[in-house]
Amino acid sequence: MQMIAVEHVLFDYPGVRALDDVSVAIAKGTITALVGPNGAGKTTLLRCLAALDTPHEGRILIEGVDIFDEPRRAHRFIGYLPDFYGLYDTLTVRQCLTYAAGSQGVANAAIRGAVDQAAGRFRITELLDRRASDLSRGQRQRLAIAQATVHGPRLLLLDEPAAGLDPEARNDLSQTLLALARDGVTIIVSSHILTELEDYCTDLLILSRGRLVEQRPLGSSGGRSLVAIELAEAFDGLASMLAAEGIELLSIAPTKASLRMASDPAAQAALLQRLVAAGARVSRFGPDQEDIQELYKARVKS
Amino acid sequence: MSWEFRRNLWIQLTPQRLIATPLVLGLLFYAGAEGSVLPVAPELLFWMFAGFWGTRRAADSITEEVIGATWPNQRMAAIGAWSMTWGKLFGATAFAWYGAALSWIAYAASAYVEVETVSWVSLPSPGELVSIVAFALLAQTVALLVALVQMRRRRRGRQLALGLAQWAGLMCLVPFFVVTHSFEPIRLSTIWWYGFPFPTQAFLLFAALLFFAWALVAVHQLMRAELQYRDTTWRLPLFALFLLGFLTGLIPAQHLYPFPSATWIAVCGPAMLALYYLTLLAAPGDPIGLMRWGRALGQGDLRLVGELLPGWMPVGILTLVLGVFAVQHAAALDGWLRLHAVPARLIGQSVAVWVVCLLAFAARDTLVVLLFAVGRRPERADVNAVIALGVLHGILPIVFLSMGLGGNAGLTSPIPGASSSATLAVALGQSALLALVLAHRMSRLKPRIAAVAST
Repeated sequence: MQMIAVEHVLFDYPGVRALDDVSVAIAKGTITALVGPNGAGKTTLLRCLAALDTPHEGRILIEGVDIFDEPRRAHRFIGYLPDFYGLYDTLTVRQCLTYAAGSQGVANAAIRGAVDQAAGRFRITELLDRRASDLSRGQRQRLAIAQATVHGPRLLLLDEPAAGLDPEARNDLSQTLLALARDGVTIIVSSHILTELEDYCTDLLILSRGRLVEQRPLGSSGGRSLVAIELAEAFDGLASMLAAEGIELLSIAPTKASLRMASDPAAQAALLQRLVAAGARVSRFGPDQEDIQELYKARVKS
Repeated sequence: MSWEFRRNLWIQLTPQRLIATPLVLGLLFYAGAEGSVLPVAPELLFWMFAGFWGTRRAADSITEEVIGATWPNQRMAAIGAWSMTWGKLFGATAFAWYGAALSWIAYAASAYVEVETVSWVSLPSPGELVSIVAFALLAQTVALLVALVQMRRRRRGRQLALGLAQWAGLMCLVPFFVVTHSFEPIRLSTIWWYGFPFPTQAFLLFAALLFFAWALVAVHQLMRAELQYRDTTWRLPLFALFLLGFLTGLIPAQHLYPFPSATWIAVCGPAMLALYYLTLLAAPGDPIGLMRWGRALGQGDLRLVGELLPGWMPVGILTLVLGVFAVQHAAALDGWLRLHAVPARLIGQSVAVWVVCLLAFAARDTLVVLLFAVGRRPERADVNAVIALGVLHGILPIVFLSMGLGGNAGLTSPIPGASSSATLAVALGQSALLALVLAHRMSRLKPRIAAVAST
């Protein structure tokens, strides 16, 4: 099921085209990493998706709602954490969450439950009676994300959510995002910390100079998984053989290859068998992890 | 209850403030009543709270959201535009109103204790109290409005934005103070409006309430725009028509007909021109918005044309209509000016030529403002434009006059008496030149692919 449809979106700043004919489709329940160099248009795309800025051309549908025609309706099921977010420092954490829930349209009777749930999910329950100004940077970040999710959004847009978090808090964030995705929330995360995105993102979007240069699933998803093959010595027919098998080849070198194929163990065993039978001296055949950093460098450079 | 109002109450009316304020005020008045240690006027305290602090808080209800980076979340909130408007207006000023109310209550209490020592001040009558409250509300609403206008201009400096908004709000109190503290003949005089007599103070209250309502409508419209409602620009032209109607009511019937009379043109023309400049300077410096408007116009997308239409355009058209009336009735206008002791040399040879010069220079000024709006710092376009217009209309004519070159004063400004057909040609020439520069700048602003890719 499709959650987001971005169709030929164009957005200009004076003298600069921030988004240039961007078209993207994002499925429900996925976690998409949005990466790109500074000035690539990531924040602009997120703001357009959040219906805070209106694209000058093209259209964006969120769950079928055209955000140009009905931005206020779209806001009801979107949660957004900007890169430079703010908190009401003189309020307590409970007041911050209560206001966020109430202002986002959560029914009065359900606010207390929503606050407790958000506080529990982001491990700030013990901080509920402390002022926001008294929180550490990591705690503030968790409160900000809790605010963005307290109304139970079906689409969550996070701009650099891990900035300022320590490794433990980042790990917590990963687990929380995975839990939200399991609950059916579609998440888009813009970040420069590419190695972390590998841990929890299912899809990748690369923007460069306002254009979409890559959109693909990451790692193991949709019944397909990444497989690494390493050879003891070069085998000339490797590329042509894999191509003939109809396998998606991600990268290849004389003695190794990275590919995406069906997760079915029997299919993988059959491929290994054929490779060995063809004379390839396979030293390793097993699951692989996609290197977003390498992919990013290659695509942005190209 | 509006969630915005509730949040503001949490911040404004803390238990510490609720307890400390009456204690401090009570002590202040008690000391004043006991031995005139510190004679305190309740009205002064009221204006300190509701006027000075209230306008500041009303303006800050916007600027602190922008500076604190909480505005994007507010824009995405389910809170409606009216709810957000009154939630901010009455919520952010809640403490100011609390203090203002306490200042009267504490005074009344201290006056009860020691009547004779404080007899130099008196509690306001209910009518006066309504008037005071109405003006305080007007001032706070205007401060909120100006803060919103500046936020939409993307002004960065908080102090400048706050200062301008607060100043604009406090300026609304000037008529109140002028009338209530003037000599009795003025205070007790009568104002006729559409043939109905109003005591001056009652009319002042009536006008304050009318303009408060319009300021509220303006805040509501800007709030709707910020909260992503799709709207056409109709409230501003409606306000312009209201202003014409309001001013028309002040003109005695015998000076109104045959319509449009010279008196009507002389009163409403400058008012409309002033409103035009105000709306022009208040418009967001948004060159992309202008380009999109032009493109929507070209494509015949009337809904988008209505939504992106800059507010100054319809006001400009009304001003132009009044200008045409003035040219049509130039002879009558000339007579009116002479009747009202405007020296003939200030008018020059032809009122018609002067009015056309006025319009031509207004067109030139529009291009000056637009040039700054498409410049490198659109957030400062209004300030830079005010400086530039100040030089063109103030400093340069004065320099010309002081150098004995009074004939040249009309080269940069429609100075009465220095305007002629030649100055009209100069004004049109300046406009044409600026239009060329503007077109060039706009063409350079046509988007190119982002060249920024630093890391």
